[in-house]
Amino acid sequence: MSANENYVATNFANRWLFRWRFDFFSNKAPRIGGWFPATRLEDMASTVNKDGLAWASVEGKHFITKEVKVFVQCHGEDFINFQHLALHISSGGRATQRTFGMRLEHRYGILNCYETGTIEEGARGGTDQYPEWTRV
Amino acid sequence: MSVTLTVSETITGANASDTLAGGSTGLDLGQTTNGQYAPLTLQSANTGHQDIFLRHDAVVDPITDVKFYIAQFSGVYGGAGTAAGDFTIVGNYGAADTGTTANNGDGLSRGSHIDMSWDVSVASQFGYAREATGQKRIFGKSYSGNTGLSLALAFDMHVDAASYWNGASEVDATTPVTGKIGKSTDTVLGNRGHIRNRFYLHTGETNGGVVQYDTVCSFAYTA
Repeated sequence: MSANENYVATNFANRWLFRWRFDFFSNKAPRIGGWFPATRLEDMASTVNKDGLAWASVEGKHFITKEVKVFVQCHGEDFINFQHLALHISSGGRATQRTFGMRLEHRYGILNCYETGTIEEGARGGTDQYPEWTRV
Repeated sequence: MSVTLTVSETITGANASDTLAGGSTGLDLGQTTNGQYAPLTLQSANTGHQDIFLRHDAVVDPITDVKFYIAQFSGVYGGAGTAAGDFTIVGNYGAADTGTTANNGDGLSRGSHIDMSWDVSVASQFGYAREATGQKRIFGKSYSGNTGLSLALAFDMHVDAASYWNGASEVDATTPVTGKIGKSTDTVLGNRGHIRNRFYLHTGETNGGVVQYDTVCSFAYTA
């Protein structure tokens, strides 16, 4: 027997794309990311000045209907980070990868939004406490 | 910024691009026969393995949640059966593995095994005692319910897989963390994930020909 492996992604059907969004107190304009990972440092959520942050949200856009809605959000004071969730792909004679969701990391836990439209809640930092968050 | 993961057969190499049966590219572990494993150098000495290196080009933060699982082959299938059938076969091999010897001396090992310790000794590599520490995993075998057969049941990259390539040699990361690979200059977390892979066949195997499946690396990076 001969064993071949292909370091590739699984066959998830794309349903939702995700982007991050920051809403601020007062009249400071919201900052919104793109539907695909940023290609410039200044377009990354991690480089946005978070002073006065009211809400941090993950927005999803349906791949077919183009409907846009908030999947999860947390208070600004609880927000830590957004992360893209990715799978490595190297098949068909070229190497690439794709994202399959976005994570909102907050003070007490994580919220994974998957391209299938499902949301998974998890703990971070050795605690099983979960903060107040909103599922829309 | 967007982060690109590279999965290579050498520490500074390009993505694995062996030509596979059917015409796709990936990682060819080679041939094996019943009671042995691939890649094999000398069975009695427990030598022979496939190195797999992971690195990335993130500039802000390390990548996290690095995990591995196998899935149905997604390339152009060129095996002896079907892509779906091969995935089932490999998963079943892992579930049925009752081996106790790293070199398959008892002939009871089967399936795709990974050893997630970059500098494990030849004598110890793929040893079954390493399952208890999480360093060794067999796809399809259950470890507290995790079988490595789906994203939800994926195996975490063990902390001992983290190493640092300083441009001349591979050394220990000073304070590595499970599932994390640091940026290129990160000596603390390390800038490489380095695992080893083998494919085992037990002595009573009746299937022959090429078996094909995907090994998937999932991870998260700062947006």
